[in-house]
Parts: sequence; C-alpha cells; structure tokens
Amino acid sequence: MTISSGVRPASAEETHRCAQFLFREAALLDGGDHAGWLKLLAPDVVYWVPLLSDYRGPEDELNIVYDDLSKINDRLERLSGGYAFAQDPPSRTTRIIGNVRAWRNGDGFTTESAFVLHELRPEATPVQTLAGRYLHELQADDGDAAFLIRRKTIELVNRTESFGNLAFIL
Amino acid sequence: MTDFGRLVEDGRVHRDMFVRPDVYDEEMVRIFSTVWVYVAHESEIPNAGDFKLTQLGIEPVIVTRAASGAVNVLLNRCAHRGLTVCQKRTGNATSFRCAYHSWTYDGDGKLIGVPYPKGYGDDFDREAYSLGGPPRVESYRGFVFASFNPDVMPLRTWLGPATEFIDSFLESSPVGEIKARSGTYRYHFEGNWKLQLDGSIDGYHPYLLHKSFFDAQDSHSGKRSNIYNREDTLAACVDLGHGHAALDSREEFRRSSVFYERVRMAPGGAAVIADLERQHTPDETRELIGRTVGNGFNLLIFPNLSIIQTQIRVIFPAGVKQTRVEVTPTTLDGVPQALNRMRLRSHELFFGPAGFGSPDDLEAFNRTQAGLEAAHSEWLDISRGRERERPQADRVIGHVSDETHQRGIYRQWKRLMSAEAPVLAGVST
Repeated sequence: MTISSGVRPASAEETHRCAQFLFREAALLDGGDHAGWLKLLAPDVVYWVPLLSDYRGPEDELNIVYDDLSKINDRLERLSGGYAFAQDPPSRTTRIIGNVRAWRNGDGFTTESAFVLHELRPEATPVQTLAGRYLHELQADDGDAAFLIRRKTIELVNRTESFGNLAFIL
Repeated sequence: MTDFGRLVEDGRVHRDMFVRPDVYDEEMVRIFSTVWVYVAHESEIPNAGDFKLTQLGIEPVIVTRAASGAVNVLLNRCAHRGLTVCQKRTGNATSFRCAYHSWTYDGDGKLIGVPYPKGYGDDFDREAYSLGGPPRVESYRGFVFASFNPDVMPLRTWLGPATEFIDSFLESSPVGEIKARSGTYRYHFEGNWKLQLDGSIDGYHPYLLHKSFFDAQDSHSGKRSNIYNREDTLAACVDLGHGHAALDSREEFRRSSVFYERVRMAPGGAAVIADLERQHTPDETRELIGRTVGNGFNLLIFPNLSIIQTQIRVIFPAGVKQTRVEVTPTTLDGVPQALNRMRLRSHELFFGPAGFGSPDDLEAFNRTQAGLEAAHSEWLDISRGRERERPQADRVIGHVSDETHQRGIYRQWKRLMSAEAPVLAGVST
C-alpha cells in the first residue's frame, strides 16, 4: 500500500498527535488491555494482516487476518475465554513504533509507521521478533482518544514465510 | 536394521517413532522414497514454463510444466557441484542456470549449457548430467504425485477408495475444476510430522481442543454444533486402506448448516447472504453455501497430503522433532465470485497462524512433543472405538470421534517400516 500523491502531509503538531495516539494504542496492546483497545475502534473498522507479498485487497486473496468489528469481538472473546490454548499463558509483548508519517485524510489522518515487536510466550519458546509497517486510517473523534481507528493494516516483513502462532493482536 | 514395525501394536504406538532420529531417517527412505508423495496441484502451474519449488520427502524439487503440457518433477540440485538451480518459490522459466559455474538446464532437466566445455574432453556426455528426478509422476484430477520408486503401483490403485473424496472435492465446482492460487499459509511446529498426519483427521478433538472456536460459532448461531459426541451422528471416521483416512462429516455439516454459520461470522458474510436471498429462498441459500463454501470432510492421503474443507494441506518433515506445513485454500471455477470469497473467509476463520483453530492445534503438537520426552511412559493410545467399528468391503467405518482410521494410518506405517518389508515396500498391494 502506498499513500496516494496529492494528499497533504500533516503538520508537525498533527503528526505529533497521531504518533501519540499510535503509542497509546501500542501501550494498550502491550498491556493486554483488549477492552481499552476496542474503545479505539470505529464501528466500521477493518483490521487486516495481509499474507501475499503483492497484496491488493483483502477480499479476493488469502489473509493472515481480515477482521471487521464483529470478528474482532469474537477473536477477543476467544482469547479471554480460558480455552485458547495457544495463548495460555498469554504472550508478553513490547512494540517500538517509529518513522511515523501522517497525511490529512478528510477530517482524519492516514499514518504510516514502522514497528518492531518482541513477543514471549512465557515458559515456552525464545523471544519472537516481528517487524513491519503499520498503516492506520484515523478518524477524528470527540472522545478521550481523539481518534478512532477505521482501518489498521499490518504489513509484516515476513508475511509470506512460516509462522509458529500469531494468536495475539498485532 | 532394528525392526521398527514393533513400534506399532493394535491400539497403541510407541513414543520412539516420534523421538528417535534413526526412525526418522528410515522413514525418509522406507516411506518418502517408496510410496507416492503429493507434490503440487496442476492449477499452480497452468502454463508452459510455470514452476513451483517444493520437497519430495526432504529432497528439494522443482515442479514445472513442460512445453508439451506434461508436469516434470526435477531435483533442484546442479549435477555439477550440488547447488540449487532455482531459488524462487514460484515463477515461469524456460531454463534453470546454476549460479556457481553457469551450468544451465532446460525445463525437462536436460543440461543445455556448460561454459568452457573443452575442459571436459570431446566425449563429454551431457545426457548423464541431467537434473534427474523421481522416475514416476502421475496425476489424479489435478493432484500431482511423484515417487522415487520405479516400481510403485499405479497412482489410482494406491489411492483406492480415497478417490471418491477427491471427486467430491472437485464436484463442489459445477465444472469440476478448482484453483489453488489465492495464497498459502505456512506454519511450523516443534514436533514430529506424524502428529500433523494423524491430527489432520482426528475427530475426537474438535469440540474439545477447539472449544473456543465452537463457542464463538455457537454464540452466533444460537445452537450447539457439537456433532462429535452424538450416538446418532451422521459423521464417521473412515479407514480407506494404504494409510489413507477420512473424517466424513458431509451429511452432518449439511444438516447443521455449518458453512452458513461460518459465512455469517465472516466479514462481508451477512451481505453475501442477503444478496443470495434476493434470488433464492433461505433454504436454497443454505444449501448453496453448504455445497460451495466447503466440503464437510477431512481426507488424508498417506503420507503427506490432506484435503480439508476448502484446503490442500501438505506436510513436510523437517527433522525428527520439527515439521513444516503448507495450507492452500482453493477456489471453484464456475461459481460467483462472492462464494469464492466466502470460501476464503471461512478458511481464514479457523485456519492459519492467526485463525481461531490452527494455533491451538500447533500448541497441542508442541505440547505432545514436549510430553513425549517422558521416556518412562512409552505408549500412546489409539484404541478408541475398537469395539464398535464396522468393516466394509473396501474400508472400515467408525464413529466420528473414534480412532479406527488412525489405527489404519499406523498399520500402513508398520507395513512399510517392518524389518522384513523390502526397502521399496508399498510396491505391491
């Protein structure tokens, strides 16, 4: 995915606000606060982890994850229900987000950022490192978060390769 | 050699077959170099020159479509110094050139280019330096198998009654054609390959290990979908001979509209159903989705292919305690795009590294391998349902939750791995 030309870059202050939002989202996920994360999602959110190296859109290709809000709710309920053995115990994660760029997009913003994510399944395996780009579409919101996520695309560097399990939220 | 056949008894198998490197090494010869091994679906290489890389057992091969339309399986190994000559997972090529000394091969594996040829003298026999490959390659309805055993029985004979399930898989398409080109999940686990082999058709675990998935499905449908613990279930496990096996839930999935429920859970699913119901009655819509969005069976073709719902699953041994798996969902020719999308969505729901089911399977395999380090407990039990299985002419049928078909897998394993079996065992029926 590329940011289409002719879109106006956000100002330094706007970019700062977007970055603060991304950091807050990362803190919620790394803290295991799924309920808090859900509050950041717009009703028409798309949470997408493409699989193909030359991915085009989620509809006509196989995806690692392609969720709408209903499926995200199912996913989180599954993870918290006590029977998701691949997340028992849950992963501990920390993600570092950088290279944040932002563009105006209607009354919101499109952001692109790079991330490095370390994951540990306690008492099971060595630390797993994942890296890639986050692409967020953020819509302005009056609530505490300032934005809601309308689309979150996670472009993993190794998306075409073999995985162990990716049952946690990226 | 040690008689590894003794590792299988009726109703139990010994831990050694999952942990001992000498067993694994012998399996690569007596199983993966002896019987038919699945290598590709023809839709992956539709045009002349198309190729994909895979493994035949643990040996790297190129599966490529010749100009004649035939499928070649070539060792991906330069006849000079052993380098792989093809690096891309898929592509189209008229020749393969080794990086080291530029030896070049055509799509049939013939050596067509050697730099500075005078160094080899005038009687250099290029024919002797082909890439080579398995002597036998045969295809059944687009499923391509290869064997290093020149005397292996005809593929059709090897597949036996399992062909009925392959036929059924293709009959989801009104024109009898499928495509495996939408993408492939790749995953691995720290465990022996046979855990995925018998796990692919295990009918005891679904509602137990995958309770979290069925809870989600049942919360949408408002009914309990446990078809695995009913005495009157229409589902069954089937030992198909030669180590092939099936979990046949087709009638039961139809009765309980399983794929309709899965479409409802998928992004875009509600819109697809609404759209279909403009042209069909609700019952017809359920039937159409049930017929096209997935097959209600898990088929295992010993030793490395599984066909589950919409997917082609291939098992790659990668060491005695390490396994790789590739899972490719298929789409159907001759059905509306919306239904093929729902095949992909239904697949994503359960399978793959972030699905609602597969991660727990991988966790179960990892925990099995870890538990099998307990050398003081030697046997794994596969005796379930011995008293209630029903032998038929060409198969044995058991309750869906039983282990009848898994006993069939290990009987085949024993046949191939016994000391008295010829190294090219599996040749005769």
